[in-house]
This record gives sequence, C-alpha cells and structure tokens, in this order.
Amino acid sequence: MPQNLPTTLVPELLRIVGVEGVLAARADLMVYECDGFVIEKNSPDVVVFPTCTEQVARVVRCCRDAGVPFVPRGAGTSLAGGCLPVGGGVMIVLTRMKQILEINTRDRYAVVQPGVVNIWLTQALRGTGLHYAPDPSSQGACTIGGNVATNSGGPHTLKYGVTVNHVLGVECVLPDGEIVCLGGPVDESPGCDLVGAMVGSEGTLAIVTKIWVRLTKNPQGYRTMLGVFDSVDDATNAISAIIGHGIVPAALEMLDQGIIVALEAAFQFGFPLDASAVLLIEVDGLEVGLDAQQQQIVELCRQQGAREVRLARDAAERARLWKCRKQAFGAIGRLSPSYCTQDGVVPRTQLPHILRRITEIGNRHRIRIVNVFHAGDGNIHPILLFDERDPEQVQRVLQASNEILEDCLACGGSVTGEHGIGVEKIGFMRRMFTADSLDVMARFRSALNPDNQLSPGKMLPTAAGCGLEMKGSHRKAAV
Amino acid sequence: MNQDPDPHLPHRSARTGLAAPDVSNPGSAIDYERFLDCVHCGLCTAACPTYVELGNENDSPRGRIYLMRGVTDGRIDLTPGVRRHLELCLDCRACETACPSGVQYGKLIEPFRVAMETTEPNGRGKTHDWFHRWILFGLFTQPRRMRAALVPARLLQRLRIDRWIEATGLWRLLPQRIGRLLTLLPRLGPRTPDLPSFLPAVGRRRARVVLFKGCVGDVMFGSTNWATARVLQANGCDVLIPESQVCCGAIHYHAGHSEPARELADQNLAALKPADVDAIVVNIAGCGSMLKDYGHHWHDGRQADRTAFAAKVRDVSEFLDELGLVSPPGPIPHKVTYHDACHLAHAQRVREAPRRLLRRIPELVIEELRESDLCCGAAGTYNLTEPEMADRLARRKLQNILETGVRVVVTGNAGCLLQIARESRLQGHVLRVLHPMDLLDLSYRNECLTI
Amino acid sequence: MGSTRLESSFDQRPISATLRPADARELAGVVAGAFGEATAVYPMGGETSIDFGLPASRPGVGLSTTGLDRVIDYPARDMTITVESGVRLADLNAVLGAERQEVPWDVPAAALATVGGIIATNFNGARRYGCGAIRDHLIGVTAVDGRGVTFHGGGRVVKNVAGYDFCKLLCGSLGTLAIITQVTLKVRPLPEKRGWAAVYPDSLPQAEELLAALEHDPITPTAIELLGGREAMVAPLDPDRPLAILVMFEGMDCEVDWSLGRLREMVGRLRIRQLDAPFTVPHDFHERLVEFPARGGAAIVARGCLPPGQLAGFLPKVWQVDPDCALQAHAGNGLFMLRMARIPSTGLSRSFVAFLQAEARAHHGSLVILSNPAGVEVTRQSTFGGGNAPYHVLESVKRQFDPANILNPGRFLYP
Repeated sequence: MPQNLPTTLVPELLRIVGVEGVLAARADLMVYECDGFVIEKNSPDVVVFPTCTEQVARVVRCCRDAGVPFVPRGAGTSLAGGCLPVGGGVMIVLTRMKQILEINTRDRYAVVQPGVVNIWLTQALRGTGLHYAPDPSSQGACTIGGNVATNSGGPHTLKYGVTVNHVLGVECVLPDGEIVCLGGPVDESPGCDLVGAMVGSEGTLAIVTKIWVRLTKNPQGYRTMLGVFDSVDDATNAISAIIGHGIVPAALEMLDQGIIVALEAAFQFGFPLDASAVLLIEVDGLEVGLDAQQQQIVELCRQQGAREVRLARDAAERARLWKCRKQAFGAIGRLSPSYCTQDGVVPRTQLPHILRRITEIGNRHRIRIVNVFHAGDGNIHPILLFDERDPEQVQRVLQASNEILEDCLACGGSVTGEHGIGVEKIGFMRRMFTADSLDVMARFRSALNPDNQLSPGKMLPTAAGCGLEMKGSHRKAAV
Repeated sequence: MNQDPDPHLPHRSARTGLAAPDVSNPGSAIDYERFLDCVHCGLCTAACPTYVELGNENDSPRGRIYLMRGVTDGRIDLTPGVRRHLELCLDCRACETACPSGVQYGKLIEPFRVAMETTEPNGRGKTHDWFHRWILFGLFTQPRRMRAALVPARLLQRLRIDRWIEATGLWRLLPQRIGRLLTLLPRLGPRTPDLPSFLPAVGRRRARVVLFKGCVGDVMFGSTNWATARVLQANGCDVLIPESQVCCGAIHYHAGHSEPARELADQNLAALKPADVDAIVVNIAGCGSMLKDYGHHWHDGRQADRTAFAAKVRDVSEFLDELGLVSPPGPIPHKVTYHDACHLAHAQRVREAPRRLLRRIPELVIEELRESDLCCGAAGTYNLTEPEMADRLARRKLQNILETGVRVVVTGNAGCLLQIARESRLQGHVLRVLHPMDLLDLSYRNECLTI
Repeated sequence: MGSTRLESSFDQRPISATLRPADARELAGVVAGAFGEATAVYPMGGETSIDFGLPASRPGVGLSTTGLDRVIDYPARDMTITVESGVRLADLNAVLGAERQEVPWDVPAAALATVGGIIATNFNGARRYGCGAIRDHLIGVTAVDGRGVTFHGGGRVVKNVAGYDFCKLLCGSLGTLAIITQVTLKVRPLPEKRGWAAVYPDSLPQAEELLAALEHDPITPTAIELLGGREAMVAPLDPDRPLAILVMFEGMDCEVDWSLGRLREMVGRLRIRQLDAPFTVPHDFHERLVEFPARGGAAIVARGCLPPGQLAGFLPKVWQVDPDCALQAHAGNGLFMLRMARIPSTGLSRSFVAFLQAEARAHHGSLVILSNPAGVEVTRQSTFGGGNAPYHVLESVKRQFDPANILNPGRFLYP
C-alpha cells in the first residue's frame, strides 16, 4: 500500500466500486504507468474502474476529501502522455463505461459513454447510412472519451473537421464531484460554448462521463487516387494547387519514398518504389460530381509534374489503400528499431518549405527522416528513425525534433495538430503562447478545477517552469 | 518519477542463446528483441476479448507484454495476480492482427507460459492437475480412448438423458470441468466409419494432398472429416490419410507442456511425409495453426525438417481458394453467418478464403456478423480451464449471432463449433453450427440443408 | 438604418460615452483603466444585436470595436484570413470574394454586423446546416479580458490542439468574458452554382415527413428552411400558404441540378405541393431571407433550438400563443426564429416562461428572446428561458475572466 495515501481511501473506493473495480497491487499498477508515450513514467497509487457516472462522482468526491490527485484514462493511446499520473494518486479508468446509450437517426446524433471505442460507434451504425466522422488512425482502439479529451483528428478531418466539430454535449463530473450537463442533443444552447472548451482540455477541467455526438451522412460515392511524383516539391506544390483550386478533398495524405518502401514491404500494394512521393487523395460526395472532381485533380497533379495518377478501382482497393495509410507507422519497424514522430502543423502553402527544412535538419543531424502525413491540413508527421539503445543518436533525434517544431512555429504553425500537449510538449507552450495567455488559461482551468487536483502537471506549464521540457520526444509510436 | 532503468543490456545475450529457463525468471529464454517490438501504442487492446470484457489493461495484450517484460526485467515478481492475467489470455492472436508493428505476441506468451509452468515450484502449476493429466492429455489426444469414452455419451444422448441433465442444470453437480465437457458434447450422430487411407481424385487430378484429421475432430467430427475429404476429391485431389498421424500437440503445448508436444510433432513429421504431397490439408484451425508453427517451437537439430513440413500446411479453405474451387452445383437457399475462428483469422490470417468459397454456393446468402473475429471463448481447452471468461465470451458471441437473425453459423474450427453450439443449446436457441466443408459437401452432392 | 437592425429596446442612458479605440492596444488600455476604476464597459460592434440580453443598468462607457477594421493577413491559398474584430461581414466577404472565397455566415445587416459581434452573439444562420457553425470557422482568437489583459487561443493553422480552445468559449459569450479584438477564420471556396427548391407542405406532419426524408437521403443541401406565417413568406413565395420548405443546394452545376431533380422525385413521392425546382428566385432572395429577424414591426423576436425532429411537435404551441407569429426555422439544425405580431395577451411569464420556454426545455432545447422593444416583462428568466444549464459553472468562468464584473455587467445569464 502506497504510503502517501490516507489509509481510509482504498477502503472507501472499495465501497464505491467493489473489489472488482479497484487495483492497488504494485504489479497491477505498473501497466498504468504510461500510455502511448513511454518516456515519462509514473505509477498511479490506485486504479479504479467505475461503471456509471454516479460512481465517478463518488470516487471524485472521495479523492477531493482525501486531498489526493486524480486523473482520468481511456484506452491509453495518447501519444503525448495525456494519461500520465503526474504525482501519482488515483487513476480513474473509464473503460467499463462502454455503452452506446442511444442512436437517433432522425436527429443524427448518438449518446455514448466515454469508454466506447471510436470504431464501435461506426460499426453500430452500419446499415443506417450514417457514420461518426472523426477517424484517428488509432480508431480501432482509442475511446471517444479520450478523443474528446484530446480533440482527436484523423485523415478525413480535412473535409469533416476534428472531434470538436462533432460533439454536441457532454455530461461530466467536476473536480468537486458535481455532475453537470453541458449542451445535449441540440445544436445550440444559450450561453458561451463550454462544450467546445471542454473538448481538447486534456482532462484538466472535468471527467467526461457521457457524450452526445453528431452523426454524419455517408457520402454517396468516393474517388480515391494515388498521385505519383518524382520530387517532394512537386507533390507539395500539387497539394497547394488542389486546395487553392477550391477543391476540398475528403482526405489528402502524403507519403514519401522512405515510407513507400516500408509499406510496400509490409503490404505489397504495388506502390512505385522509385517515386519520391505519392499523394493519397480522396474526394467524396454526390456521385454525379465525382468524376469531374477526379479529372480536375488528375489534371492539377499532372500540371505539377505527377508521373502518373492511379485510381482505386473498387471499394476493396480503396480499403487496402487506407489500411496501408493507417498502418503506415507500424511498417516503420521494418526500417529501424526505434522511431519518433512529431505532430507539427504549418499553413498548407508552407509545406514545400517545411519539407525541405526537414530534409536539411535530418542531413545535418545524420538522422534519417521519413514522412507520412495529413497534407491537406498542413499537419506533418516527420518520423525520425534511430536506435534507442544509442544515447548519442537519441540526443541527435531530440535536437532534430526540436528544430523541426521550431520551424513549424516560425511558419506560423503549431507544435501539435492532433496529439495534444500532454506532458510531452508542455515545454513548447511558452513558445506558442504569451505569459498573459497562459495566465488566462490557468485562470480558466481554476474556474472548474480550482485546486488543480484533477490531472495536475498537464498541458499548462507551472509558474516555476517545467521540468519535462523536451526531454521527452524520443519515442516510438504509431499514429 | 521512477525512470525506467535501461533494461536491455543485461539481456541482450538472450537474443540467440536458448538456455534452459532460469528457474526464477520465465522470461529469460525469450528473445528480448521481441519485447522491444512492442511500441506500447495500445492499438491491440480493443481487439483483445479479455480486455473488451474486463477493461483492465493487465488483461490486454499490451498489458501482458508489459507484465512479462516487467517480470523478465525483475521489476515485478511473478505473483499469483500476474499469473492470473497471463493465464487468462486466450492465445487467440487477435492482437497480432491488430498490431501495426508486427509484434509476434504468440511467440512471447506461449514460451512464457511454458516456462511459467515448468518453473512453478513443487509441480503445482495450473496444468499439473488430474484434469490435464487424465482428461486433456490422456483422453483428448488419444482418438481410440476418446471413441471409447463417447460410447456412454452416445447412450445418454439416445435416451435424451443429456438434455434432461442440461435442462435441469444437473451437470453443475459434476466436477466442474467434467460437467462442462458433458455440455460441450455435440449431438453425436451414428458413429462414422473411419476414413480409408486413400481416396482418389474425381475427374482430372489437380493435386495430391494429405488430410490431417486431428484427434478430437476425428472422433467428434467424423462427418466433417468425410465431407472435407469428399470436397477435396471433387476438386481433383488425391487424398492421403495416413493412419500413423497423431494429435498435433497443441493442447500440450498451450498448457505449457513442450516436450510431449515435440514428440507428437516428430511423429507427424514421420507420418505425413510432406515431400510426397502438394499440401498437408487441415480442416481444424487450431491444429492448422499449430502445424504451421512447428518450425519455431523447438530449437534442436530438426528445425529445418519441421520448417519444411510447416511450409506445406494449408487450411482447407486456404488450399481450395488457392487451387481454384470447382463450382459447387447444388443451391443452398439459406442465410448463414460466418464466425472467424481465431486460429484461422488471426493465427493463420485466413479470412477471405472461406467467405469466397461460401459465396460460390448457389443461393447461399452470407450475413455479416458483428465482432465476427472476436474469440467465442473456446480457444482450445480454454473453455474447460477458464469457464467464467469462456462463458462471458460465448454469451457475447451468441448475442451477436442472434442479432443477425440467421439460424446457421459457419466456422472453420472444432472448438468454436462446440462452444457456439453449447451456448445456443443452453440458452434454448435453435442454431446449426457447421464447417464450411459441410456446406460445400452438401452443394457438391446436391443435398438440402436441414435446420 | 432602423430597418436593418433588430428593433431596439437598448436603453443607452446608463452609458456616459462611447469610445472608439483605433487599435487593439488602445482597446486593452481602456479596459485596463476601467478595471482599475471598476467602471462598466459595454462592448459594441455594428450594434445590430445591441438589444439582445438584459438592458444595461450600471453606468459605464460604450466601447466600440469598429475602429479595429483591418485585414491583418489573407493567405488565400491557405484558405484562412486573419482580421480585426471590427471588420464588417459584408466587407470581409468582399475581400474574400476577390479570391472567389467566402465565410458562409448568414446574419442580418451584414453591412453593419462585425465579425466580433457575430461571434459574441453566436448568430448562426441558414447555411449552418451545410457549412458548419460559426465556431467551426473560427480557428484563432485574440481578446482582452476584464482586467485589460490581452490573450489568444488557437492560431492561424486549420488544425491545432495546443491549449484551451478559447475560440469556442467566446462563441456566444456576449462580450461578458472578453472583448474579441482579432480572429483567424477558415474560409471556403465560393460554390460554382446555387439552386433553390420550394415546396408547400399542407401541414407540419407533412413537413416533418419531408424533413426526415432529407436526413435519410444521400442528398446534401446547404440549407433547409421551414417558413410559416404570412410575414415569413419572402417574395416570390405565396403568402397565403401556411408553410413552405426551402431547400438550398450549392456545388458544381451537375451536383446542384442532380440534387434538385432528386428532391423533385422525393417531394412527388410524398405528394407535397411543389412550387418548382429549380425555383427561380430574385438575386437578393437569400439576403432578404436572412433579414427576417431584423425586419421591423415585431413585438417579440425570439430564437430557439430543438432537436430537429421535435420542431413539428413544438411549433403548434407557438401558434397557439400567437396565431400570427411568423416562423423561420433552419430546420436541418432545429434552430428557429420567431417574430410575434403582438405581446401575448397572457403576458410573457405565462406564455413564455411557464409555457413555450418550459416546453422547449422539455425537448432538451431552449428559447430566448432576442428583442422585446416594448420592454415588457424583461427578466433574466423571460429573456434567456431559465433552464437547467449549470449557471454556476458559467459564473465561476466569468469571475476568472472578468473579476470586477465590468464587461456587459448584468446583461447576460449571470447577475
């Protein structure tokens, strides 16, 4: 039994969630010491598995009364340490709250508990003509509660938006144990948009226990294309040309030669191994307009020097292409024992510039970098390849990562497009925001979480500065 | 923060060496690189049946790898709690399908559990009990004894006493695992005659194959073995069925008994003579998966032979799909749904082939099954050794099946067939559970399917 | 200009002077000064929604953002624009139009309404259905809090999850948390073609049939408008019909044509009287539709939101209160605007608070009064509809942003 907990806490938690709902043995707690971000680790002192909102509220009150920090966790797929129990305490794991409570096809919304895995919802919607649009590459495992906390994106956010654009309301437990409802099955409620502010707050304001999400109509048709380019510059120029031409593809992804080679080894799709870059472009919508849009895109790619533009012949080929894309990070294992991926964003027109910079930085630090990313959004995911057992290489990777993110900021971009700040990028917050802005953020947090007992050490740097600055970007991860 | 000490260095030597496991450390014989393949992304978790049911990461693939690595690194002890999490694994390999990084989970959990059993002090390992010794190893893997044991069962069924026992719940009064065994028994038809040692191709000869009949399957699914042989014949295959073949050894190996499994493997190598045939065809996914793994389970002088053997092994659906199925003529105007057996879909990556074959049957309609590749809880002998979890998963599977509204479930593994049929009987539903070869055979013979 | 605003009941008497800072720094200075003296500050944009909310009661100064009218950065090929908050919507769209882009917001008096004001009032219109809400276009914001401290949230890139999303928080905050000084917006390409269809359902159940059918069809309208009452029937609609549904499509020529054909079939199947599709409309039809809430002469203008499927059940209650009430609903979103011809004879507390607003809440919705020119029974309850929103949470947020309660004091949900 950890010493820093009041002795009454665990018995109290047992009374609330029962013996099946509490982990307190050291060996059982160990797996909860990190999420998809493995550099920083810290074990919680207790893990609880509530099964309903009332239990969450009682657990929270119990923690509040005991003065113990507490942190929520979903599937633990965060790539930024969003689930790290900084300072220990009680971890509230929401994986047993996994019911889809309601699906309303007339009003196009669904009500889910936070532990529902993203793809379960879309699976449950099969046959209704609707789907849940946010599709992070981890959608087979990540929970909708976690998506709400980090405002997750995905390849199809270019046209459909990220999580916040699809959340209508949340029920949540405030750090004092009060259950409140914000929004609901309607598009608007009077007052400022607290729902919008809750999404992406990385679990620092409240614990979300129920979510009303907007459902999206399935498009009538798709056209999926693969543009093959002999230079990265041509490919990035084609991206700008397509977007600048007023076409909003459903998805626009870029893969460079390094990743193509790895994907080909893994999936034998038939990618051209000698191409410098390929663009995976998808348009969707009314069948009647798709051929014209496709032609336009093919034409624009050709104008920018595409060697060829291939078309996915059928649904099966489209599915295979997307599988390759979504599993791309896994294939990296074939190139290198370890890798680290970044999540920077630049204005789309700056893509040619940032990719040239990435190459330069990689060369200078003698680090091989491959790229696969959400080009249409300007959301880059440079993957730095290295061997984590070589500390000197690790240092060079850290330095290179840092410089890439610096460059994103210099272009007017951001250090995270979809992974979140967590503990990993907390050191960059001072670079992205003025002291005044951070102060207002801290004030906002204190409106809901006055004692900072909920998710301490996350997202906002403390006044004393942050001890975790950037030492934590060397990691292997799949996005 | 407790920074992880760099755990790799002391173990790097374990990469190639295959020393006998350290008594105190069951992970010491595992290639440490295999642990490092896991990047801790967590994408496997929702594919894992026990995690989906329990929501505890200790009962997920990522968690189990973390536990095994923790024990190997000496960060935690192999406590009874840790053992439980590892024992609860179904070894369904759904996580391998989900893993983008290509972690070979089976190659971690299986040797770890083998070592966990052998290193258990005083022979008190979970599988050192009477049930494993007498029933699983002594009976299941011995077709002749099994056949004898089924004589009274047939009698009970003929007299309908079994239904009475099931309906009244009297089976619960028997020793738990014996009671479960009884309820798992399918409705046994009249005893099928043994397969001959050779059945010739019908029409132009296209291939020469060995049929692996399995031990449990041979006895409980004699008719499916016959159906498989006939389907192979109809597809132009000479079918060899050597009598000297034995159990594949999966039951032993998965229970942590490596040596008896090795002996069985080598007997099969001698009996099935891979060099003489185009393929070793298996119709039970669990056996097929074990046979395909012969090449890397043991590291001794015979690895090359076993690897060559394994390269010839094909699941029957996979084989027929590669060969090109002769169009089955007879219509079967029924709706069916297909359950992906773990050892077919995950361990062997055979998913589309059986569906493609079934789609060739005129008028057969396949309804998609939700969570079709989530384990039904059978998992070899898991339904006997972990009844609680097995039941939860069986209920979940049946619920999904009932939601499709169809009465016929098709699946390519003996354990799944028994498990799904048992659950539907216990819940009082009318459901036909068939092997794809049963349906193809009906079609080739222009017979009707009765429910 | 009176005719292009909401009928004004805004009592300007407590306001001693209106300041018009030339830039954001000056504006922050004014607020900081007011914070020091605890003087109330009433932020104003184009003053098109100035009487939304409760009347000003504390003496203070007006603070106009109209001096902040610069376009800061317009990288058209990135499809974003950064502007100061006092830029008028019409001016913004003129700048964007030169690059064949737009911000698809539908608000009355676009020539006056400022970007900041539209965000602060969260005034969503018809094309919210196909193009998204105001919050969905706002990717970066700079604002001044009640202490005069300038802060920002979001940034200039379309995807960004660093820090709290103040863009969302300030939507609909009515200038009570902070005064927006600069925003970055996601813009969209102008569509190649726009087409309308109009149909006349005989009854609300029949209307609901079509509305539900539209939700279950692959068709992708940009706007679905349900109109009711003479005054809502913008020419050339027939004012004698009780109801009309207008469907707008945008996109490529072929998409719009196909959609109109598809809709015609759908309407035929449902046997609804159809005007024609394509429905030829005067060039300013859309603009005149958008002016609906701002046209003069209404005793009450109210705005509500319900789950879309509940509209048909709720609206008869409105007409029970005022048979001459004119309705414009953005029916795909469940948003609706009511113009009442007269103050209900039973008074607002009975007709609104105890009846319509309670009914709206019972359907998870809300009904607020945007304009009540006669100032009859103006209370927090009647204006905002009461309800069970966690006002104390809003209040504690308010206290952090505006500790001295000087920003639009007393006019919003909290005292």
